[in-house]
Amino acid sequence: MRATTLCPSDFALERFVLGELPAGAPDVASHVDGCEPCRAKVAAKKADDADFMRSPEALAVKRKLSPWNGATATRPSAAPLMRRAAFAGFALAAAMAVSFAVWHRHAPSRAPSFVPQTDEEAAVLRVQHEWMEAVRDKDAAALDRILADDYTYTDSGGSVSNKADSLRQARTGGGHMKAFHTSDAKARVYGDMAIITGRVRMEGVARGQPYDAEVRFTDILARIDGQWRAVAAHASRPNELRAP
Amino acid sequence: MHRMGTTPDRASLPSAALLFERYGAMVHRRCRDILGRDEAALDAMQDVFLRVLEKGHLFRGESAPSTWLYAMATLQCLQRLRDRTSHQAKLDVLAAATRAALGSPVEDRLSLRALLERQPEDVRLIVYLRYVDEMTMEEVAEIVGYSRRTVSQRVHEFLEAARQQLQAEGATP
Repeated sequence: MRATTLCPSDFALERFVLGELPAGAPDVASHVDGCEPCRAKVAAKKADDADFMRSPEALAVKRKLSPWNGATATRPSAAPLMRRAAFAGFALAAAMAVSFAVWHRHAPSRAPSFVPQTDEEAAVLRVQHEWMEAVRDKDAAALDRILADDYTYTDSGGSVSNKADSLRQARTGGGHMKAFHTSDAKARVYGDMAIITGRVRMEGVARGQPYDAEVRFTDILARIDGQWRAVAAHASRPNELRAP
Repeated sequence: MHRMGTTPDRASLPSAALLFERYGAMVHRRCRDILGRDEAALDAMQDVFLRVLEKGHLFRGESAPSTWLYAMATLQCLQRLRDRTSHQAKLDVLAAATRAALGSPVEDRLSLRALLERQPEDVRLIVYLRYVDEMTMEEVAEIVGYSRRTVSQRVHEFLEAARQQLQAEGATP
């Protein structure tokens, strides 16, 4: 990396603070180390970052942009809302129940979501949700329990991975999925086999960059020793989201 | 990505909320630097992120989200300097920067205002980034989404026009 003697632009200093300087960019770090005015600018930006994000103005914008506040087409399903309420005790549960009833009455009309018709369908959907939670929380123990030993996953690029890859990713992977939202999930049970189809939207950070991606998935679960476990999964990008 | 859990399938723009979390302070600083006033800066910053909600699907992943947002904030703020006083002040800043680039005294800048007024928006943005922000040609090219050669050409054409304008008025740079 080449060192820069001229003071970097404000844009370069912003990217330095974000840790997003492109590969091959001049060595801003060394310059800042030896340049008092630039060091002061960087310190001021860092202090401003913390102050601004705690300010009432920033919190108001955050609320406005929240995906659960009408900023996108998706809203949280009732299940997570009610589950969180149960953890928070009766009073909060009652308040959440009322809030949900009010929200539900005023929610914009949308295609009816799948309602499991049988206990079996509800059980496999529950396992599928726990699976996504385990990926989000990097919970290798839960993944070990949910994934069958011969589990295979085919991604939208055609790459195939197995259970060991998934566990390794959970234990040592650098990326972090912060949130997911499953929609259009449908489960069908055929004896000891079950197929779940749907779409999932995920947000997180990979290689230092935030991402927001959505895929359609097909998951296959098998009842092994009385437990529903994942034996295969496949993901594809919805047509409308493909890059032109 | 799905169950492997770390890498998205394509370069896609994260949600406005996630972008605000990471880049909100940077965009606010940029707006404050250009507009000067805190209230106006907050207003401009909100507009930038609301545009992400409306136009995020147009993001092609050709530049980093930080570059895209920095460019949007700059353009948004320069467009906001529309009232007469602010607009004249902006032209003064651009004219002074142009004179400095040509090595002419700043006092003679008035004759450049009309020339700057006639420039398309992208040229004014390029001049602002290059001579007010003192960015490198590479940085300007990255922000405006042109090749470095195109940016150099626009800068060269603009400075040449400015030089001729000053020569015609007898203030030879």
